[in-house]
Amino acid sequence: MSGEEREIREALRALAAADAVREAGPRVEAALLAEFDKRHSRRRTVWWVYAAAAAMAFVVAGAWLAQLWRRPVEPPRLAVRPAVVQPAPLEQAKKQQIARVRRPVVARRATKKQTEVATRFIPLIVGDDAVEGEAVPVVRVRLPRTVLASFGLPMTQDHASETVDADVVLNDAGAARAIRFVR
Amino acid sequence: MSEASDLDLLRRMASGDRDAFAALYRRTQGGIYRFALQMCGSEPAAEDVVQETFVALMRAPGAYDSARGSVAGFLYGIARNLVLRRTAREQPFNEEEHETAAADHPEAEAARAETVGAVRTAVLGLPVHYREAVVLCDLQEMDYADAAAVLGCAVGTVRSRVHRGRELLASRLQARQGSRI
Repeated sequence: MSGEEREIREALRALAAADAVREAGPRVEAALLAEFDKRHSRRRTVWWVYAAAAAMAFVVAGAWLAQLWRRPVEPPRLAVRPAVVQPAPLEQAKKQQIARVRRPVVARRATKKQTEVATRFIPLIVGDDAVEGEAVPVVRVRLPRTVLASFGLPMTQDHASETVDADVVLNDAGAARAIRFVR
Repeated sequence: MSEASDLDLLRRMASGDRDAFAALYRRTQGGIYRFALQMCGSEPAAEDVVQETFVALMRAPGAYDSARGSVAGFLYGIARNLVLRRTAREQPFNEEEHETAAADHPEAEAARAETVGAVRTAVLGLPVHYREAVVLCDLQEMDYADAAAVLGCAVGTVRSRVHRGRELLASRLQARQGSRI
């Protein structure tokens, strides 16, 4: 290290020593702590506002979901003529019908009750039209009214939660051949 | 009980701990203040830099990345940006003005004060990139690696700037002595 460099270093050391105890005045610290308090009280307020808004949103969402849960789902309306039947899969129809069987009536004619209004029999098997007029076993079941829509029959939302009576024609093996709805 | 690290204090501060903020401030403000003072040559300016540095920290404590250096280095980095902004918009350094200010010390300490004043004036007269290297490494006694992190340049660059800064200081102090004779 040259003498000149040593002198410079000593001079710099002297300056560093002279400044060693210097620091910002207490005014700066007070101002910063006040600023800190202000910022964090503001942040707490903002947090409460967010929490309240979130709670309100949660309540509104809950009420909406509850309402949605109570309202029955509208089945898709089929754009086919009511009498033209492309029935739901037979297995599915059978399951629904078997689950809802109220009281089996064997060999009872569907036209027995004069006060009832019924649709014509809708075949559940394609090409099996010869049901009307036959002496066939019929089972009276009660189905959800929404089933009407799956057969292309009109159904209003007002009665969606209700049930509808139906006569199901069975074949010898006990499988459903046709269905009609009764009012 | 061991003293909390700067990083612990910063984390606590970020979650609203006032005492942690105060502790971090008291621990680091002296260095920041002296850096700003030696860079700007003005006590009010240095206090402003300290205040703005800690307000910036308060505003975005998450801006600190521990992978990029120490908390103190991060604060020096903020202070440096503030100093550079300030020096860019202020008038160029006036040596005559600072000569007078440095000569205002009491008679008893005249010789020492004169030396210190002369060096301070010479440091303040250095171009900014040499000045900040000299201030950090020679006056703040920061090692080259930390200084490089603060200045955002390579260690070798810091070393060469310090070296060049000292040369310029020497020539300025010699010129000053020559002009006095």
